[in-house]
Amino acid sequence: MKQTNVVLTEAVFYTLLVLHKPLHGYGIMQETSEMSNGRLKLSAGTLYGALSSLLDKGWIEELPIEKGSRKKEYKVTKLGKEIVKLELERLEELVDNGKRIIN
Amino acid sequence: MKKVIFKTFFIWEYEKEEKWLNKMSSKGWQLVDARLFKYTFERGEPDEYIYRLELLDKKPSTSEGKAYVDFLDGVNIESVGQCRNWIYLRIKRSNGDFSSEDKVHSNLTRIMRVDDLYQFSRNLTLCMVVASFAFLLICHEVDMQTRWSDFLTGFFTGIGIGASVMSLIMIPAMTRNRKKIKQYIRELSVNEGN
Repeated sequence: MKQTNVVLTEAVFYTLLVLHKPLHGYGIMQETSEMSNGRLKLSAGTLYGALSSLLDKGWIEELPIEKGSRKKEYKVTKLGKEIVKLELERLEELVDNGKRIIN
Repeated sequence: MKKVIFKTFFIWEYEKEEKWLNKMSSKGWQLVDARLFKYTFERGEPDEYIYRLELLDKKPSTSEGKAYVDFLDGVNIESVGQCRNWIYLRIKRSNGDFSSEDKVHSNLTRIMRVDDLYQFSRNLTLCMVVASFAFLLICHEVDMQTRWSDFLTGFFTGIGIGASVMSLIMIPAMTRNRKKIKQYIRELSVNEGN
């Protein structure tokens, strides 16, 4: 699959970012909200959809469940990190062009 | 203290059902179990929980269904009951509400599903009408009047009448639903990317 033209949704971008450390579902929601100063509140449905598709693509992985815990934890994979980097480059281009025209 | 109430809602009356559950919650009766026609409530604080019905693609008992319910549990959304593909969810009011985006998505799924049911019964009506007519004609042509042909004609007509009654009952709800589908799709396209 050609990975260079991927445009991530905000939910996916933030999910990949916060998953640079292992988190469970609720943790992802909290971290995302914190990181965006309360602007982006992921809904359960959106997050579930995002996690399922990210697992499918191999951009994140499930960590083995720890004893005594029922909650699954997730972490970004090497491929996922690459994707975030590419997306960041795309966003930077977007911002640069925006600034150049507007200012 | 517990209270069991038997009540019937048609499948397309999920909004009415949801409203009723939330009204019970505001009176301090919190749903703790739901089965077909049977609702079990427990005495709690008024408005302690917000209730919501969600329609799953797969039955909640399948591994996909279970994974989803487990996930919801992880984000403080509790599943208190299930009936076919529906799950009864609740969230503590102090933990927030179901997000508006979730509402749009799940409303859309529910509406589409009910719409499928309507189309199915409408198509069944048509098929049965055609089948019973064709059958009558054939029987008439070949002059075949047996116990079997009587039975089959009755059988087709029976299903046909059943399905047509079903379609008729559903028409008003369906007209409303079609309007809602359009409205929800508009809302989704505004929120796209989130």
